[in-house]
Amino acid sequence: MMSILKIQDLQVKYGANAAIKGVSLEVGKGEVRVILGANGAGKTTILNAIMGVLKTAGGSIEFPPGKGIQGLPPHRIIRLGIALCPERRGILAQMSVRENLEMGAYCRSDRAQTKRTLSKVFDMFPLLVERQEQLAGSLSGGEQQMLAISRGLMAEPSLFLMDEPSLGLAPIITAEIFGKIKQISETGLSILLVEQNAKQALKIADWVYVLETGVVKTEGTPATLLQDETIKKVYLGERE
Amino acid sequence: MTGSVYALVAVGFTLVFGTLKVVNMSHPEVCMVGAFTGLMVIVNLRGDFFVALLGAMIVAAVLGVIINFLAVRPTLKGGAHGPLLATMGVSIILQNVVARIAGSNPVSLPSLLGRKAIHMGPFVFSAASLIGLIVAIVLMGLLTYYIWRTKAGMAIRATAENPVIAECLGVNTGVTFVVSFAVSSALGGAAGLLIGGTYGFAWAFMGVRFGNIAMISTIIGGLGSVPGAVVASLGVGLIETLAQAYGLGTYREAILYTVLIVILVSRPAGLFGKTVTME
Repeated sequence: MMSILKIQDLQVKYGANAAIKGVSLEVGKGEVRVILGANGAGKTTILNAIMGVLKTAGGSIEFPPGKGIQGLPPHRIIRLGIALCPERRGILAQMSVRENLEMGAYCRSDRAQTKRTLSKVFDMFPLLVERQEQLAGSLSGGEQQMLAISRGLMAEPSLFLMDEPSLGLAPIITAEIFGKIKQISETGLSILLVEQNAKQALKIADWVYVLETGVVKTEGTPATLLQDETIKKVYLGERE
Repeated sequence: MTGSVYALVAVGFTLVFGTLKVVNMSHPEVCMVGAFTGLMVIVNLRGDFFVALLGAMIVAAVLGVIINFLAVRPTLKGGAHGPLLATMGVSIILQNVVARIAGSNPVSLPSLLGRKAIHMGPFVFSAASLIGLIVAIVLMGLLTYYIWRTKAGMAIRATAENPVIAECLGVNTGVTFVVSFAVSSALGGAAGLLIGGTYGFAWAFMGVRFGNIAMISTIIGGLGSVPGAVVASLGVGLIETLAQAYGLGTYREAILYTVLIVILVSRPAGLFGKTVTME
């Protein structure tokens, strides 16, 4: 596997409290890697640290391996090819759908290429075409999630960080969103996905990290983890 | 007509609040410095009105950026109250520095906009206020275009709504804050000169008078809302004019504050504003 992101011994603190206590993980080219964990496990913190939103207290984040990016601000990280689809979608509610998408391509200057990306995004999410002029805040939860994913794709990243895309969505919409994520991964884009919804996440993952209170407890392929009784009980709600 | 000039000041207030969530109390004094800069360009450099306007805008923009770096940024970490108090301090410093240099009495502005009266049917305008109106409309038009039609304007709107998301999308929000301060102050500089031109005077404490009125307009319109600031300023200008016309000129500020109280009671976020949580 050729890595494009390598994190070693990552530590993040909120004041004196350690939120991430020495996490190491990597993402290969074209892979979907999932960080699974309960609320407060530190999943979002890891993504925010990669994106430069949070300062790291130790360890290294390399993108690609050999090039440390910790300490860089988010507006520089995105220019390196990492895009974030944030927790709770983070859409710009007072801007139109079209403007949100244009903001997604803010870091790009190649107009013709951006136009091509926009039409690819519209092909993947045709619903957004008819909603273009609508205020993003007036979209439903599922539509906002589609917009947040599309906005991330507008940057043409080589690594896409996705933070709980299923959060607050009905199961049928969640299934649809995961279908789209699978479709995106098939284009060869590397994805680091953070999720609580193990059922859906395990279906599309190549590799899974299980995070508990800031530490990777276990990792492996979905098939391996599905053999684990604890994983089945805690994350899939299966009874022994 | 005065409403359109108040709008320039009010938009300056609201633009900075919108992006930084900071109330820049020194904004009226930045406008005052704009008025004195224009005065100097006309008297000492013998420049015409438009050169004076450009000079006022540039000096005010630079002053705004300096205030941002010296008084706002270092105090931002303590929440919104730090910059509020710090810019209040800057405001007092600017008033006194200018009073020390130019004296505390009003300094006559030459008839840079003409003192002629223009008759339009039953209405009589001074050339100064008419030109003031046209310049204010043009500047507001340019600002509207900048905010709503350019990539930089879109970055300002995105930053105003959610600075963390804007950063993650590639906006250097630090630069956006500086640009907002510069644009807001440049408009203030223009407004200062136009107000001075309308009154025929510039004085060190002129900001206290129109700063209050612009602040009332900003709050009525809704802090952070550019269209709100414009509409409310025009309304405030109209109320002032009507109060004058009906012989209630002495009570105009009392009337304005009454309107402000009524609006705040019925719509606490102002006409076009939205509720925000201040740290």
